[in-house]
Amino acid sequence: MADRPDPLTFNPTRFAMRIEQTQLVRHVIGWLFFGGWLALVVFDDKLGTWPVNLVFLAGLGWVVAMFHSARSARLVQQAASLVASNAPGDVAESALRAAGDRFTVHRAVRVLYYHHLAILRHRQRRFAESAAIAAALLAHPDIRLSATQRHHLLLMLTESLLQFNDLNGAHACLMQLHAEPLPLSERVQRLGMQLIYESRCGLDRHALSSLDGKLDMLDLMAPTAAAVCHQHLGWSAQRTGHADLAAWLHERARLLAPDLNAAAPVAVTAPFDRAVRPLEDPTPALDLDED
Amino acid sequence: MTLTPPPFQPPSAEQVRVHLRACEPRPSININTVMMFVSLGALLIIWETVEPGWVSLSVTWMVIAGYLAWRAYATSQARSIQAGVVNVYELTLLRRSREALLGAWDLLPRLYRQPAEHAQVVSIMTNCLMRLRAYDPAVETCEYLLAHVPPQHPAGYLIRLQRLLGHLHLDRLADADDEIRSLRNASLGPYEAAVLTTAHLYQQIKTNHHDDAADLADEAIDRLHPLGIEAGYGYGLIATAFHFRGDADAAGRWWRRATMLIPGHAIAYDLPETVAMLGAPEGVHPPFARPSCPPPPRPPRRCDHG
Repeated sequence: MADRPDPLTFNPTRFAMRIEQTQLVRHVIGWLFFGGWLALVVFDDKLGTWPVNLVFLAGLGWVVAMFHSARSARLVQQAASLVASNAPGDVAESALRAAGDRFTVHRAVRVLYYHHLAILRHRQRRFAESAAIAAALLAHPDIRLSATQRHHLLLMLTESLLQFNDLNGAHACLMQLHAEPLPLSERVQRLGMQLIYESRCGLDRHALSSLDGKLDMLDLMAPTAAAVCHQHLGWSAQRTGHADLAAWLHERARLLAPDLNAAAPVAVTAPFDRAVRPLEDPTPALDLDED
Repeated sequence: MTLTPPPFQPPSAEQVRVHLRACEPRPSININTVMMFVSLGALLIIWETVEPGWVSLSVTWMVIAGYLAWRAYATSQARSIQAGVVNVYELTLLRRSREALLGAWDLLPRLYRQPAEHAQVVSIMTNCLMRLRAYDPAVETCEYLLAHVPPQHPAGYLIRLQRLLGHLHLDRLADADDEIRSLRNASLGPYEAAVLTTAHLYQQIKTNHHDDAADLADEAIDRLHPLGIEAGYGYGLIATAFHFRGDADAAGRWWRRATMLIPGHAIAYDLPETVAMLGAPEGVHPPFARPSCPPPPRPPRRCDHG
């Protein structure tokens, strides 16, 4: 017997197939129901009992599919909660594996599953996989993402591309992020990404412009992410001949994250400011109406 | 004659208690489900009682349109509440505490059907009240949250830590001491442990145990850095401890570190015990920290290096 593929191993073909599968099942059931009902209305009793059977069959199929999907949705929600609450990697992985194997007619459930798989991979520093999932979700023509999901995926994709030094790709993502109104937390993350991008491109004067305002925004970040941005600003200051400013920025970076390793990848998209939202449920609500 | 509005006053503990009690979430029926069943019932009655024809058809469509209009209204209401929560949250992040507190105060009565958002807004109120130095009402909100948060909820420790800081500010040192002892035995995350270290330092300064506070200096950076810039408060307290011990060099060094993260006047406003350090040199931005560069590019310029 051939081994079943691990649902946590991202495969673009399988991803597209699974997204289309939800649509296909919904369409088949819908057309069966509509066809039977139309036959009943148009032909009345002339076609015997098969239109009634068709409507009954479609209704039964719908109930079974919904029942199965409800359980899948619950499992995906549980897995998403584990991922969002920073549960240990293996616990979150096994929950996602259990949820990913199941069938669902709701595309929103599938999208939530892949979104949280991308978050998990990003947190595990498996940037290639997280970028692939984020790009696939963003590019799929039939997927309607919520604004929050879209922003989050774009931020993760930008960060992954910066890790691979794909500056053109990162630029395209930043352009998209600039084209949309973002909430404060995402504006802060975008600023962090843009500073890294500008520093890598050598756009040092741009990076250092309006520095006070940028430092105020960086103060809202998680300490390690803020320290990374300070380091990049410090390098920009060094290159533009502001040695004192560079020393100040590097010292601030060291105070924010004493054990920061400049070579190690750091997620700028880390959650921040826990003090004011200790009771927030980190799991995004599952909106099945989106289907 | 022009009327000038009275100066802003944070609410008293009693006002907070009354407001929280009045706005407490209560179990309620799901109006969406009720409306769906009412619409379905209305449709069944129409189909049973009215002869098929244009009347029944129009009434059927009117019921369906009414239900859809209700759904649209309910969704817009939910979105407006969500936008309100996000707004007060962002104001809090930006330290616009008065506006955030006013927004949270007005928003709370609308959240009686959303316990999670309600708790989040109360925790935002706690934060704002602490920043406005209204510690009595802040402790009141902490007590309220602790009474409503499940015992094993991870936020419980953070609320207890906020209450502990409130107790220290209010000079309720015995309560604070009990809380510190109890929290020392808890398994705290790095962030919570850093808040506890700050509270411990503050307790030692308050009780004139400056030597004990200064002894924590060796491991202060490692312990406090998870707080981000707010570690500056802890460094400011260590500087004050060295100052009262008569070690001006160490005091100056720690004050410089503290003020690299938070301006000195802000530390002294939040922790009046550190006011003695205000004359010392600060680690503020160098004067050329505001280079006269063109405005930041939006969108960023295309880069062809990749």
